[in-house]
Amino acid sequence: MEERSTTRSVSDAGVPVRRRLRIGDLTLRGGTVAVSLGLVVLLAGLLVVLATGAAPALSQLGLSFFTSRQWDPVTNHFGALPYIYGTLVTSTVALVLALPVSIGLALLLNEVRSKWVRNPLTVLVDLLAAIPSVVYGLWGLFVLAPALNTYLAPFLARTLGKLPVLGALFVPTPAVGNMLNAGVILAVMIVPIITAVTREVIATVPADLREASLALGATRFESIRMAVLPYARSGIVGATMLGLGRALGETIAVSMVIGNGLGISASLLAPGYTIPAVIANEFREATSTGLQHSALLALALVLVVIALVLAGASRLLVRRSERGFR
Amino acid sequence: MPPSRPWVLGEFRCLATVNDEEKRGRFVKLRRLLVAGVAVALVAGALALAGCSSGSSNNGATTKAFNGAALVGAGATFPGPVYSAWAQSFQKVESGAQVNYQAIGSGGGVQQFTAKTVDFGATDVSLLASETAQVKGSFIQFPTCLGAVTLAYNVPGLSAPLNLDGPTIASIFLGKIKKWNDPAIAALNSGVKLPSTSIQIVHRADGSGTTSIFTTWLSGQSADWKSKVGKGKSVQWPVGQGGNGNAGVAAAIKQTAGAIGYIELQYAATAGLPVASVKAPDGTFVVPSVDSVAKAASGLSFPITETTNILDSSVAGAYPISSTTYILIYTDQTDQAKAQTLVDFWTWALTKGQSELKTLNYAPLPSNVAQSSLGELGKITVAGKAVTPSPAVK
Repeated sequence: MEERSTTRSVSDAGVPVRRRLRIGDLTLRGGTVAVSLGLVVLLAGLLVVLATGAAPALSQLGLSFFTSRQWDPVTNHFGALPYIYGTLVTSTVALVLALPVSIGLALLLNEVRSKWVRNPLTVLVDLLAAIPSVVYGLWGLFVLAPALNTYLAPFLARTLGKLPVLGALFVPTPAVGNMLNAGVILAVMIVPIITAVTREVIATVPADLREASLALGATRFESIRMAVLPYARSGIVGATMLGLGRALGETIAVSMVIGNGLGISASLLAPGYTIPAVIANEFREATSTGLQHSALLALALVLVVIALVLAGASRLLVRRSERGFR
Repeated sequence: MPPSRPWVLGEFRCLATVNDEEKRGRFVKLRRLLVAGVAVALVAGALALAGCSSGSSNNGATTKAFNGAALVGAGATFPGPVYSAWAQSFQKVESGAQVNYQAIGSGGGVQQFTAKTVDFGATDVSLLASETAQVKGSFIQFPTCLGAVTLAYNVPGLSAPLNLDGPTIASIFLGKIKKWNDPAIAALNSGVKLPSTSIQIVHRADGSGTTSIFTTWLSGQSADWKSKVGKGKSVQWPVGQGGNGNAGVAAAIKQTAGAIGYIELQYAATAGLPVASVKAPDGTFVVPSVDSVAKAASGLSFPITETTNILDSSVAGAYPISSTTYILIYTDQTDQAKAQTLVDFWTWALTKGQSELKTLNYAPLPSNVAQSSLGELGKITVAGKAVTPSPAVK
């Protein structure tokens, strides 16, 4: 008490400022510490619950859970490989499609000075992010999938399908649900996320850098390529990881268009299955007597681990690219 | 006091401007996030409030005529629309009877019933002996309405309705029969010109009672199916693609030339897809319909056990892949008002409520089965005393 009163100072307006700020600081500090600790506890709790739930399946099936292609609730044999494969393939397709579009959009939104172009576009991109995924799923099922199957798939099979190695990706199948559909839907869903973050990141590129490159005689494109993008690189990596996280975890929209077929096919035009989709599909009616329940929890654990590994990898990547630039 | 506020705020603002642009961007983002978070919280709160007010309002059992109490049930999704419709109509009979049915799936229904967190459970598959063993206390199990699994197809160039039998359907879904003009299919459809389109299988991706009924029936039809795939709410399909729910399967069939899949009768009626006639044990081909399903159910015997089903009924004109859905209720009730409402609601559902079924494309119970179900309801007691239905429901 003594000490506090000696440090108390009085502002021009005659109100003790230090004291007041101090109470604010303390509450803020307490609050943030509590919240962040809570978050850690939450994550730990989540992992513990998943791990205990998954333990029966993992201990009984062992390594075959990760290598087997069978998923048979009747004989209690479960293998996660087709789901892991489908999840990674669809997310990769989504990223390949979404990244160039997003970076292009973000650049456009920063470079174009006319607010008549910029503002509506910004709002549109943000609106895309606000559409619930089940709506994307419905649209994918009734509009996108038929359109892709009627026009795009035969075209891809005719053109890219003829190439030596790449051709294996586009072997046509008559199935209406396939991994390409899922990849395209996911791309549409993650474009707004990557765009929004990339836009913010690019906006922080110092004007000096840009002006300097222009003063040295760089064209606008060269200035973007050599000054803007390298500076924003770490941020763009972060944005990409955010998008990837969404793509990995997306459930209902993917489940509606991917065909939910158990199988590992090189062709993107074949049905596939993802981890979130199978959990959502089977959990509701999973029998608690067999291993199915536990196997689904094990799948959830695998998904969380994939997401955590990717998050870690992106941290590393960001740090590496930052060091490379500075 | 008042003059101090702008000062402090001013200092904060000053702090903000000291930071570089990157930080400011972050502030803005934080603010946006906050706004979004608050909005979400508000909506969630509003929903929770709405849920509370509709869930727990009335318990008026003290008025002269019995007014009903709130009931909670959970389980199968298949009869979900029926139970919701019944719950609504029943409020005209007993205004205080708020029957809240949650269609969470048969598995969940059995779990919640076993845990005694609901007033009644609902399941598409009669309780297994192992599940019955886990239930503490005696209970009744009775059917409420009927359904069937139909085989819907999309074969361009095929005009006549298709006839199929069990072994052929099993071979198709095993991937052994690959073309629509396969001799096995042609033998069942003499005089019909079948195209050479390849067959595309569509099955349910989500675990469902429909799949359980269909695979149980197939296991009885084909030893090959029984050994290779078996029966269950979800199985490992040898070929094909999976759709979500009846609607997902129907959509995939519509969009795929040469597709065949299985969907519930009440859905097939509205999906606008042709359905196959299936060969009954007596050798005739039966079109799935509300009437042919009702015929199948007339052979149902009580009490309901693990092996109870109405597949391959020997009654003439009965559709072979017919099914029932069940309600589970404990016989020893403790709350008089609840017990009375339970008995009243289900008595009404098994009598007057049955007439609502046809408009929803579900098949009503044959009268002998409805009578047996009412007999089961009569076993419900409160403190050893039987509960008789209120006069209003009769």
